[in-house]
Amino acid sequence: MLSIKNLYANVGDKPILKGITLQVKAGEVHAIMGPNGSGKSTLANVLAGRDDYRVTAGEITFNGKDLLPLAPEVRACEGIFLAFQYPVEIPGVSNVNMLKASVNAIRRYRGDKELDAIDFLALIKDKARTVEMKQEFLYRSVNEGFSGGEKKRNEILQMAMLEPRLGILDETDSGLDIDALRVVAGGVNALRNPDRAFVLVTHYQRLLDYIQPDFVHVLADGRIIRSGDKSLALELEDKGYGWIEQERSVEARI
Amino acid sequence: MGTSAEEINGLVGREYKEGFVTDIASDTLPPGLDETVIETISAHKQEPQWMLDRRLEAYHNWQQMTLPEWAHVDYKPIDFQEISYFSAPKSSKDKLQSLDEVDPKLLETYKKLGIPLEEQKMLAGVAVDAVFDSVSVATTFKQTLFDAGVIFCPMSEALREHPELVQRYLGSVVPSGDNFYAALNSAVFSDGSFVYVPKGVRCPMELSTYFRINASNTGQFERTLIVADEGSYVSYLEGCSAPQRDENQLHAAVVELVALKGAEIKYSTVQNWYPGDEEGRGGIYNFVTKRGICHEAAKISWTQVETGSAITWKYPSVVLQGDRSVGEFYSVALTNNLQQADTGTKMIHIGSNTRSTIISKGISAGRAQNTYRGQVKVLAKAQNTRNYSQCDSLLLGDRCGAHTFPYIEVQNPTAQVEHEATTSRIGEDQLFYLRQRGLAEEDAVSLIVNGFCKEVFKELPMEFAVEAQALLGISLEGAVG
Amino acid sequence: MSSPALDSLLAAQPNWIAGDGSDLAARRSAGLEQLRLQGLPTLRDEDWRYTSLKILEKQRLQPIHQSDVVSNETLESTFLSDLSGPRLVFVDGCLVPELSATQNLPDGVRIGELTDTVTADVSLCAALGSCLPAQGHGFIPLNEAYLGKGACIHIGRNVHLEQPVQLYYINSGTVAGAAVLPRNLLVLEEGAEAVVLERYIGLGDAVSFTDVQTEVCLGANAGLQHYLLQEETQAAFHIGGLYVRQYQDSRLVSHVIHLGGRLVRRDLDVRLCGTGATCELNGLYVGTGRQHIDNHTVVHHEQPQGTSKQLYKGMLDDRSRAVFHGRVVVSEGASKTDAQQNNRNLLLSKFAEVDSKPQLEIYNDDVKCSHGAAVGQLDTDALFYLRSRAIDKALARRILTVAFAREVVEKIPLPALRKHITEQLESSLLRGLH
Repeated sequence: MLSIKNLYANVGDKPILKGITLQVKAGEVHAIMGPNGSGKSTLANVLAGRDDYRVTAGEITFNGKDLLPLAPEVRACEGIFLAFQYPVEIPGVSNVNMLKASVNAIRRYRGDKELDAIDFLALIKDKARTVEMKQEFLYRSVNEGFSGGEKKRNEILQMAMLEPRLGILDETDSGLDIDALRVVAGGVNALRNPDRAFVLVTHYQRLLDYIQPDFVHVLADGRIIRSGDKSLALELEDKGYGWIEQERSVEARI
Repeated sequence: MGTSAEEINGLVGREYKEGFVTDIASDTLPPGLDETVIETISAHKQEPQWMLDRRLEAYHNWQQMTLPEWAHVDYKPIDFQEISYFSAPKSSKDKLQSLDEVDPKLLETYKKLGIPLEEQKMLAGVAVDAVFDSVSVATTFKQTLFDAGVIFCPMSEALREHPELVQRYLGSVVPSGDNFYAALNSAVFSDGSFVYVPKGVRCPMELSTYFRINASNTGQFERTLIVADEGSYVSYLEGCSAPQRDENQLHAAVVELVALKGAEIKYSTVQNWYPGDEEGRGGIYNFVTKRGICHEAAKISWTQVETGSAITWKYPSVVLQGDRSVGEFYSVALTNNLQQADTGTKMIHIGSNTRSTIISKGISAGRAQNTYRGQVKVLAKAQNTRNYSQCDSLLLGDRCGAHTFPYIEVQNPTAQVEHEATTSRIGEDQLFYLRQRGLAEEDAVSLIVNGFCKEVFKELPMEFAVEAQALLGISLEGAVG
Repeated sequence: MSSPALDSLLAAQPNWIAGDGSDLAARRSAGLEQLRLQGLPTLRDEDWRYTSLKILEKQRLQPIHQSDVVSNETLESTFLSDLSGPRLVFVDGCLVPELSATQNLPDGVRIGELTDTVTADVSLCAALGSCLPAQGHGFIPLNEAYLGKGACIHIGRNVHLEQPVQLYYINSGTVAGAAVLPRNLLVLEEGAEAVVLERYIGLGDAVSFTDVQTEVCLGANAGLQHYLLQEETQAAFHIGGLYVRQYQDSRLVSHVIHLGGRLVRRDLDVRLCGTGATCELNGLYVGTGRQHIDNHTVVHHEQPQGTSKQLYKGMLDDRSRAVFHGRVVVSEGASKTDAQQNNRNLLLSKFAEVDSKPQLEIYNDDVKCSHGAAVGQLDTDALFYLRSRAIDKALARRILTVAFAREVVEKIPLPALRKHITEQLESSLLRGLH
């Protein structure tokens, strides 16, 4: 589904990603872990097509299509969803209105009929229940005045509404209490199916207790330095990131 | 004017032989301004012809100009023909002979500010005794600066020793036709400082210390030029927190800063000229033009603490000409009794990715009027510029005024310009809280006012920050209750 | 500088409403005299430093009062269908009685043409002119020189007029240089309440000039909701003022919405001359093409315990330019004043320009005053967020721009008006945003 080959990317003038290669197949869940500043969030933003993130080398294909020339909205229509680490507040734009525009943009792109207001409302109310979000939040401005947990919940609601093929969660678990974490994980697990894949960018192993990953990758200094299964995450938790870095420098010397 | 040009030439001619540094106690021209006066000033300073030409050109400009009236200040019209435009420094025998002759009130203030005894004498205009050899102190400083290649000397000396630098930069930031007072200054400026910091040099000392000891009596039409060559740094402090004696009512200084590529100039001012008495009698009129130009990636930072003068009219500005250059303005202006201040800044964004910050704190007490006036202008070609302005006013008493007049002009859609201003009185509950904790009302007010100004004080060189705080307390005496 | 505009208006005045016999003739002569002395403002006037009248001065103007050029159907189609209530319709400065509705008014309410209403009531005649500044800019004596046309609304003591009163000023745009100079007088006596909408519409493409001055006198505890909806064509010069005097505990809510005009200048001058008076001033301006929109507000806090709250927002596209000049003056006696002012602007094109000049002038220490001004562009993070949610760039920009305006639009309590403005905004932004 997603194929990243030898990807280099800059933020501004600063090189952050230094040769990433990653294959994600439909139905898989990949966790990308790593210390702060290793490039995890950059990778997530590059996939979603953020302006200031410039790819300097390498390629990304998504279902066989070259992703790099596509505008962010086209990527979204293709089925890429990014749950933001810091969801932006947009005063004056209600959640409902934004999502209606989004859902229908995607439906148009896929050649489906647009939803009318009644069907749309029924759908969003249903999804809101699954993420335990109060209805009043739907009519409030996007993320405005939301607590940290509410913002993350809102991201999961949007993901549920847009039914992406690839969900990228950028540190969605950071700063969440256990209840909110449970809701976020529940939202992801409910969406798991053989046609859909997830990339979970996270700093902590905790999230992976709730969402079982198929693969775990460790990112450091813009490169994937280790890949493995769930046990790698547990090992990391046990020994800390320093362990990997040390091992790597030992390898480097050899 | 009764003196003919010939007589004056004769007079001046004699003085040449005696050398530039000689005291000439008799050298005061009668009041009035015309070309002859300007020629006399220029000749006395042994200036090159081009300087005289420039002075005359400025004078002709000035004659065409009218007195600016837009400022929020009110004063009797000035008769420019009643001012004497040339007066040599006083010799020590004309000065007071000891501190005992100085107004005790003044001495008390010095004590509160913690000014060293010898400096007190200089400030009060007392002849400095032989034990305290200011010349030798100055020489030490001069050597340090010389070793670093920094030129720091009176403007008149610079005109003789470094004419090429002065000719190139003088008037390049504030042209002589810029405004009424700048034109006047350009025609008749007395003296001032010249600083040149060579490429890549970090000036080894704050130019404040030296200045405090040496640059007294620069006269009422002071002219300062600071040139920081590529990649250099200099911090300059003008004035001092102690009240200075001065008989001239009108002060019209011009300060020009040139920060070449990657250079940084930090210019701090503590201004405490005589504000006049409680009824507003006397007091200095301080009409200053200050402006700096930033080339690529250069930075100019103005910090000012203005507590003196009857009328202050002053807008230290930065022309952000080069890309990625930075302008800053930090100001505390305090007015008490019948003082009037109309002060602020201009940030002109010409280059792309330029940034400016304006933090202005106005405090008004008694029957004073305190105005912030500032302009932020973003030209059409300036991409990605940022400005943030914060102007706060604090009112003490119900007969004073605080005014905020920002001008925001934006011609480029990538600019982010933000201005915020508040006006409020000192918080009753804060005052009560502090008094309940045992502080006298005046001390409580002083504490709160200092807190209000904290963002600006932290920009001042350490020693002056301390003095500035003490100064606010003193300036506010009698403002409460 | 020669000014064909001024010259033509000075020359035409003696033939204006000649011999109508009303008491207003003397005022007209005085206005003309004052105008001759004063002339029109120039860039050298501090209050006009950002607004050049050069293109206006070049026009040859002719005051008109005829109204049979546009069919009633066309005129009716401009009305807000969901809004009923009393209505006065002026086309090219002249009242069209067939389209106006002033029947069945409650007791104590008078709505009519200015001259008729004012000459029938000595106290209204005295009120006329009392709210204008003694030394206003040249367009005030100009308006005075042509005094006579316009509307008068008088609401008696404790009368609450629920339905909004609509004043329509429609420029037919059929006569080049047509000048319309109405005066409106709104008097709300003690405890009275009313909602008034002034709406300015342009139809044809010919250059038009409007100089309208509205005076409002709010008695003690009176309440007025005032709307100014300016939808002239891009060939229209619109100069107008709203001058308000507020007595004790009176309340004003003003909404100024600019959706059209070539060169627009509005003065909103509120004098809080009674204790505890409050005003809320909201403004919204959208500039496209070469529009120039200048809003001046002044709030004079003259007595204690007054509050004023201002929010003006603008969106500028193409080569448009906006000026905001907001002044708050707190006099010595006006303790416990609470004044807030905010001006926010969005620059949507690289040729657009904004000049903002908020001013606080405060002579009393027992106050809480603040102002803020900002110029910026759409938030790039929000733009990316929407695009990552599959919304294309143009739509995302439009959504965010309308959202920026919404804060002001949502303050409008009349649903019909809110709907109309939102539709107009979206259609003008649809045109403008690419």
